[in-house]
Amino acid sequence: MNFLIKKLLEPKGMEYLSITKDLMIEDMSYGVKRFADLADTVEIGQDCRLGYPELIGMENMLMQILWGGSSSLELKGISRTNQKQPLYIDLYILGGQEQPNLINHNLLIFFEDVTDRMLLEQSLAQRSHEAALLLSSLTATKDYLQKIVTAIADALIVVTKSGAIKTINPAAQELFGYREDELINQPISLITSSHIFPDTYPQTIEVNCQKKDTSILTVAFSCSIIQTEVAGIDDLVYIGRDMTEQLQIQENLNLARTKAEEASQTKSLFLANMSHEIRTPMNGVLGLTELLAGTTLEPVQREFIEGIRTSGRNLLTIINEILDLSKLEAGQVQAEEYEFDLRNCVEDVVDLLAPLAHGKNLELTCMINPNLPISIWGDRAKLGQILTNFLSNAIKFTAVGEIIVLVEPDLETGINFSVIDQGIGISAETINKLFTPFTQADNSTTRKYGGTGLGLAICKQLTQLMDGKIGVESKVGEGSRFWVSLPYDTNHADSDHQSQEFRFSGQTLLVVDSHTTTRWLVSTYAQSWGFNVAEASNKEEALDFLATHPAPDLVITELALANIPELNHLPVIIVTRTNPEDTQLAIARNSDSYFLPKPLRLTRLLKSIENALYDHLPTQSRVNPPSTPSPKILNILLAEDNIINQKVASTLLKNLGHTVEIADNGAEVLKLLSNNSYDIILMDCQMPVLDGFATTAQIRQQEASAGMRTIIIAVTANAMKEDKEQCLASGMDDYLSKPFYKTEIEAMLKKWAKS
Amino acid sequence: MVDHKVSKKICLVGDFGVGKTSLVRRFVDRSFSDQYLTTVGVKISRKLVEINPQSLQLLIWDLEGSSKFKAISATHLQGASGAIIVADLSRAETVKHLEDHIHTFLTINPKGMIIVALNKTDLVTTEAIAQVQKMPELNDPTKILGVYPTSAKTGDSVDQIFTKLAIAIL
Repeated sequence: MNFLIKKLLEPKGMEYLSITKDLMIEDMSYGVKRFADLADTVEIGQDCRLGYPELIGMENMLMQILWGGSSSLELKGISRTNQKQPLYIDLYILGGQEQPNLINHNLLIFFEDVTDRMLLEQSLAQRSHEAALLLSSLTATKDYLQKIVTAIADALIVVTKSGAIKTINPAAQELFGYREDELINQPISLITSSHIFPDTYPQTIEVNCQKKDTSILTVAFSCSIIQTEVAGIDDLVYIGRDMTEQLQIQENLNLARTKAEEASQTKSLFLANMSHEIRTPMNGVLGLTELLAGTTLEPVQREFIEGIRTSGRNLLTIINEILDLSKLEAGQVQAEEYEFDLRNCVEDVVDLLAPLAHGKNLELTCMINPNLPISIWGDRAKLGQILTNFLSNAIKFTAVGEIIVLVEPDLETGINFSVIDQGIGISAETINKLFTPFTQADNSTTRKYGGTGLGLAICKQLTQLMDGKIGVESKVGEGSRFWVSLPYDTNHADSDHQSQEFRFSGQTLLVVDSHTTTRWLVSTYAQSWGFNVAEASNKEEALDFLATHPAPDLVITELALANIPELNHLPVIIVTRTNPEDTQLAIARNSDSYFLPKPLRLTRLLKSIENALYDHLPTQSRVNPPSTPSPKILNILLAEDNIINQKVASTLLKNLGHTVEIADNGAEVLKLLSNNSYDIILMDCQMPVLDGFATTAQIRQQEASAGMRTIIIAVTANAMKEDKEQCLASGMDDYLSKPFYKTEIEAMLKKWAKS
Repeated sequence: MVDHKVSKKICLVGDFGVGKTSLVRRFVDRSFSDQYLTTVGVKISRKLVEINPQSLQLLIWDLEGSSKFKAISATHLQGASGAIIVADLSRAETVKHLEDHIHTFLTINPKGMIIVALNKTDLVTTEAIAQVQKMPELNDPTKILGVYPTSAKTGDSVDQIFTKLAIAIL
């Protein structure tokens, strides 16, 4: 390299290499190693590609320059990464001779340090690329959001706070029938005149909107605020859906429901009418059967008559149950709420069914937790219906053992009523079917025990009506526990337990009874009244107690254990069953004892204890046959259009010793009344010419001026509660539903004869 | 002959920011950084690849990425035996540019081998990857050895693309 070139390169900081056609270094400037990738390999006679790897692969290009195919080659911006400081170089490769020749071929490679320029370029490129990447990312996000807005199936509208439309998606354009440019910047009032700015967001509003073609739509909008950094310029976004069709469907549904309800009411009315129509002839069948049974009959005839009577009564029960259920299912029955005596309600049911239980030699005990309030707000009749059903089932399905009716507080609901029996039990498979209509445990049960399978279905419906819970636990062969929990308020402190508490404090009571549950019942009640209670399950235990303890203040004993001489000088209450044997035994027994029939009623037990302890005239309280005053002979007017029923009722009334006159319809009643007076009118409600209600109204009108009042008792086959209300409202005094039994009419007449 | 090893030049080509430098760093240094540092000019790395029974020294040219304002330097592509053409799966335009880069490379090196790396698989769904892989312009076996979804971040398929290309150019 000549001196001149060296002089030219030095001030520019450039270095050079001279290489042969074999790419061997033949000459180099002093500082050229600084630009090498591997400085050690840069020596005269070495392959230049060892130190400068960018030349690898460039061999063809180099040869072209060497042989004059091309003049030069530039390789720019080669970065050396082996340096402590960044280093970028540009390479210029030229032929060493003016004319290529075979003898003295060589190439010159010039190196220039371009680090400063490249670093500046890097910094610029970095900034520009970062900005481009950010923009690209923003654009992608914006595109994606725009695609969402476009793709959204619901109408989307963005509105400024002043109500100008800013954005609208294709679904909204289609919904309202406008093009985008027709709505942008237009007031929202163009599509709806309703107020669409709620006080709080997010909010859902349903408004009427007008389409471009002026048709009206109902649109449900969900609206929210688009929060921005700058307060006060937040836009509102509305996403709306056309509700017109849905509202139409809803309207149709409502219409269909109304129709269905009407149909159901019609069905229910039909059932009620059917029931009425069936009841009227049933009255004849049952009434005449009863009369026939009262005549002299051959034993076989009597057997047949009993069969007819039982079947008739069963048929009547079935009709009543079907009617009850259909009314419940039609939603025609409401739970009422009035104050009633809890103990009376439960104990009345138990009393009513006790003869049945005792007739089967079953023990029946009723235990009402003394801590429960006496007075309860609820529907006494419906509770009674459920308990009657439970208890009659329990008696029906129990052959041997005992039945316990348990009333206890239920922490979750209010009060729990259980009927526990030792009957046949129910298998796990059939227990779930029990509360569905027409289902009994199995068909053999129906055959053996009878019944419709409607009772528990009715109970379930009644319970639901009263917001209660109903259930059963059972084990085959061991017995069942049917329970109902009702939401009665037990918190009011009217329990008379507090007033009775400690009233017998310090007194001793000896309970002698072989029946564990009875002993437990008496003990529990007595202890709650302050007694010290001792129990004896047999005669020996009783004698043992009497020998080792001071004489008790009172003894409560079962009839079978009552004849212990040691008890003679003590106040004794003897507990009897309601079966004929016990009653006979009790009457035959000549003692100073008090008799208390099972099942034991709490109030009755308390009263007996009071009497036994404090009554100084024990003879007064012995069991005497009740003195039955000779019944008053009544003059009765029977208004009834059905000839058979006329015959039934008049015979019945005559057999009871009363005088009877018959009117075929209301008009005849009025005619008879104008000349005669009657103690009681038995008024059929549905009669030709003038019905019972209208007749009664006229009678009451006439009587008002005369200042008198005849007792009018409605006799009707309409068994619904509303019918009774209608009867009383029209001026009648009482109500008897057909078919009625001798005992029922007898009781009714007795009740009104007194007045 | 340089040294006692066979040395071959390959280039990484693609738009800026597609992850060319990251792929090289993952392959050569076994490392990755999330920080973006634009490459200017060219960085040459050496990596010895064992391809039994031989070994091959790859001279990997990590080229400055192309942008709207600056194309790939044709001189830098001179003499390359193969190229890895890289796109960023999360930026559709970089995928769109793949065909241009392939064309540029093959114009300069008509016998050069090409592998396409669809980079940054960690940022997109498998459905999106499959969609790109199906593009007809990437499925020309006369030009392209293969299309590989890669991730310099996780290292997925990184060694495979370099090794496959090395075997092809040896």
